[in-house]
Amino acid sequence: MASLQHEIDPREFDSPGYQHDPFPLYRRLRDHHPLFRDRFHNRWMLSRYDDVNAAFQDNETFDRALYKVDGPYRFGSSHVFGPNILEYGNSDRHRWLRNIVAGQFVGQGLVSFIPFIEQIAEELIAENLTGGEVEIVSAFTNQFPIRVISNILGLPREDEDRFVGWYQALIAGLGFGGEHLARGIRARNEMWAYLDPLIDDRRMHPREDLLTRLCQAELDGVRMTDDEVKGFIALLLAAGGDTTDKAIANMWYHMLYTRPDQFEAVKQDPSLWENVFAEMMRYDPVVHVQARYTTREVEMYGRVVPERALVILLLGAGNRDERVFADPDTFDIFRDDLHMGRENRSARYRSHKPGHLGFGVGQHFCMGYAMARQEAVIACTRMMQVMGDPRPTHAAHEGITSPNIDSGGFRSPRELWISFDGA
Amino acid sequence: MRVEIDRSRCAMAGECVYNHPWLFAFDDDDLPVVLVDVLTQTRQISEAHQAVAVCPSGAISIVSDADAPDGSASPESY
Repeated sequence: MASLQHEIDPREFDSPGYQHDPFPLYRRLRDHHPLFRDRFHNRWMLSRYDDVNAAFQDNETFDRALYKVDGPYRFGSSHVFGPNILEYGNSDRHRWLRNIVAGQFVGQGLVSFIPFIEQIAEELIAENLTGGEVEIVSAFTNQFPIRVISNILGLPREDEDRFVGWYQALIAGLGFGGEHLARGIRARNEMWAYLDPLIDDRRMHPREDLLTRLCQAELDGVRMTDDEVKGFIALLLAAGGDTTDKAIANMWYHMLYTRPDQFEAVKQDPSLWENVFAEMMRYDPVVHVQARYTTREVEMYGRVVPERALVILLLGAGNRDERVFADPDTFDIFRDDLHMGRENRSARYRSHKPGHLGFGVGQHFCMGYAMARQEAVIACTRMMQVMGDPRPTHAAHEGITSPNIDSGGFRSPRELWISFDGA
Repeated sequence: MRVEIDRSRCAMAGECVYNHPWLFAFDDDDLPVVLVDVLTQTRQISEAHQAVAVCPSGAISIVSDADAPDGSASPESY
């Protein structure tokens, strides 16, 4: 039993201080409550690297979906997204749906898109990175991944700007609620109305694009419904667009403000952006939590977690576990106790170094992991090329924050001003 | 038709094991092994092709025994 001085008041999870800097609380959880029962929010929490990693890999016990007798519950973000594949948890249907698109983002599929990613980065940079001073969140990161996805889907390029607008409203709705939520749902409805004729078209006239794959793929002779296709697209926008968008901003933030000394090394050797990506995904990834539901009673740390309990996997806390990473609160692109190269879904590496948990692990490991890294590194490299000697416009910065870490809110700087002279 | 894994090329990504658990499993060295000797059903074959496409290291190939007139199997590339 933890002594009284280490007690945690669950309302701390709702405080603005936690949203800004959750790491001190993470440490208290790891050290004194590795399995924390949060009675206030009716959930359990795991925070040590090994526990989070093991739970991610044990889908039989920790399922992504909460089931009722006649099928999965709708929960979480589905009111904005519509039905999405994550609700199918650990099932053949999830695997099938994932496989429809996974090939586009990993392996050979990704290779064919790289020239395209480069082209979109160049276009945006030429248009928006001008004038010696730029706010890169609105001028670049916010638009880049969504334009890539829109093109992979095969949407008409002349509609890209509308798509970016809907996406931004949708994401704001997810993150901030209130009037933003109403606007987000309106954008969702407009986007869905826009997609209806395109879906009809692809069902009749297949093309070489992702939208066609979504519309045509069959499992035992049955295709996805229109709502499932649209839910899938919404998920791709949020999971594939918003996260990468914020990852790029986080990489820049850490180079400009956390480790300007190491930024000098990156300027000399742009291939180090790969390391910046890996260390960002460990130190303070865009997503800090993943939710799982127990499918059976689980005994851990001498306690029993009941069946159908909500278990929060605090991957942001696992990434700072001093049991795994030396000096975990230091951002260091040269650390030798982290796997710096491309991530693996299996969390297994030939180097035997541990990987970050920023993409999750296992069955629901981020489908776009390779794409995200590729986009982020290409974007940062090209931006730096054009800017020459980029530096922070303002000496101080409010830092990285999130509207709501616990419900999966994405962490990133709200604004990031960079001054430059050009190459 | 068979699936082969080049274990020296394998990067242990796990894509094959997680996407097609009936066809691949991790062994004690955390490398994947093929669970089905000969692919016969259409769905098995299409999933095997998916596994080839998604493998990040290009370590998986499909060997069609019929392709090799001299009796030795030759890997198809995808």
